[in-house]
Amino acid sequence: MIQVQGLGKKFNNDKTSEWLFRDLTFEIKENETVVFMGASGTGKTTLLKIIGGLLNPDQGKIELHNEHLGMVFQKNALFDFLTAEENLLLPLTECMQQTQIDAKKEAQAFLEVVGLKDSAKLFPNELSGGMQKRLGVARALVIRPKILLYDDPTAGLDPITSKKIADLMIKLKKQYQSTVLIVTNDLKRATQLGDRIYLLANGKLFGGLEPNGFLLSNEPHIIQFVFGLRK
Amino acid sequence: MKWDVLFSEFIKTKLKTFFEFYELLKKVLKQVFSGPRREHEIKTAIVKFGLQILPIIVISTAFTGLVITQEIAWHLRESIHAISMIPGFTGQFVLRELGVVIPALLVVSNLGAALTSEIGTMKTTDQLDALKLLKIDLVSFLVYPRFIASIFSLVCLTMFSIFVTLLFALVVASLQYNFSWLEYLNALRHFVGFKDVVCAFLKALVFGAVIPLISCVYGFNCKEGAQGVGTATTNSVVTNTLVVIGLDFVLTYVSTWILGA
Ligand SMILES: Nc1ncnc2c1ncn2[C@@H]1O[C@H](COP(=O)(O)OP(=O)(O)OP(=O)(O)O)[C@@H](O)[C@H]1O
Ligand SMILES: [Mg+2]
Repeated sequence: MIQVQGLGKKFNNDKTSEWLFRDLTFEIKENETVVFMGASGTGKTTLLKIIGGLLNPDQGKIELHNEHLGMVFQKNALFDFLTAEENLLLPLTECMQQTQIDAKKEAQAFLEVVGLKDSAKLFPNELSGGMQKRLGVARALVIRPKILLYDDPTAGLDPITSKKIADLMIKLKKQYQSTVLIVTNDLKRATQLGDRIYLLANGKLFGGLEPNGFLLSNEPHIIQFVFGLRK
Repeated sequence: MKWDVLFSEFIKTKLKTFFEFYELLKKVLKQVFSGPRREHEIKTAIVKFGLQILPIIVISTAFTGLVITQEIAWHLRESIHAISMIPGFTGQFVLRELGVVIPALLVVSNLGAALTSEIGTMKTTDQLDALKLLKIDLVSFLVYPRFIASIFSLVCLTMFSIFVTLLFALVVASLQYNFSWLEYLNALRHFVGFKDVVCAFLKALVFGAVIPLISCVYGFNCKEGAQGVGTATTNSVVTNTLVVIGLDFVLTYVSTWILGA
């Protein structure tokens, strides 16, 4: 279970030192898949990074049922000095303490799963955007995390690749059983993947409803977001 | 009014950098005595930084050897009308200063700049976050191997560059000023001794340790974006250069004091 209580964050930029979001309180059950949506710049990435322990909140606290986290970054964050295969080997040998031989087998298996077997020896900058995303997914999953954070996994991808990644996410979730948090602005993927959907707007969370409930909600922020209406 | 604000801001950032440098030094030293060895990464770093810089060092120190002999010969002729002291003066100057500072400054512009921009880029592309999430210690994985590689490389490069400089100085002295090789080496032995070699070794050791740490501090503090990486790299090179020159002065004093003149 992930318990978030009264979470708040502000960046001390030169321009603003206002709260990005404030008093966020929610709970995510084990093995649940929860989607966070919200306009650009509302702090979705920041929220995920705080949950992942990469940023400190300025307010509130978070309790995780398990510290074993994996994250797919919005910027992919692949290790660009390592080949695709080595990107998977590093977590296995460093984080999971596997031997080189075991790690090699495991890495091969995961490359196969994400369809990058033929690109094992290529460096991240030699891969296409979609391939990088898939490698990012593989790197997050290779350590078998109990909590998985996806930051915009299908952004900027064509519908076919986007579907491939979504199918991959569903398949891997079935296989490895984990709590999944997804940030996306793709309504189709959100309703397909999420058990519940939240909307982050004006520094507050709305919704937290199952997909149908979210689409039919009469909360003004959600209506505005779903239909892309203006105030 | 505005100047004192700027000045105090400047002092504050420098102090912050210094404290971060100190913290990093503590962590790295701790790993030297107790952490994982990381031999593979160290070897890679030595090949990447140590060997790559070798041609530049050979060229610049060879020319230093040529120039310095000419300079010293001219000064000696002007002042005491004799050039028999060329080997002694050259030897002292090369072992104490030029042979040590030139490779150090070349390492600053090579390893130092590369390290800052590498770590800075890793930061702006979230790669550092990815490492943290995998519970990989940044100091152990990124800083320590380069720290060891830098010390090892700079000590070797310094000894090598002293050799190359003196070799080319010897060539000029024999071709242009009619020294025989034996004569030159004998004169050299009179003026430079084991102490000077130890002094050069110590300086190389300190520079080799300080340069990668300063570079890493600037890399970790890098601001977002290409401009952030550029600024961090520039600042890192400037600070490193000043520190090398300043430390050279301090170390010359200290070593003279400890080892005797
Ligand atoms: N390191 C930082 N320093 C200062 N401000 C930041 C930092 N990171 C993010 N911000 C600010 O916080 C706000 C939210 O950023 P965040 O990346 O969380 O948005 P997002 O919801 O993920 O947007 P997108 O959908 O475009 O990815 C932005 O206005 C951004 O300027
Ligand atoms: Mg984002």
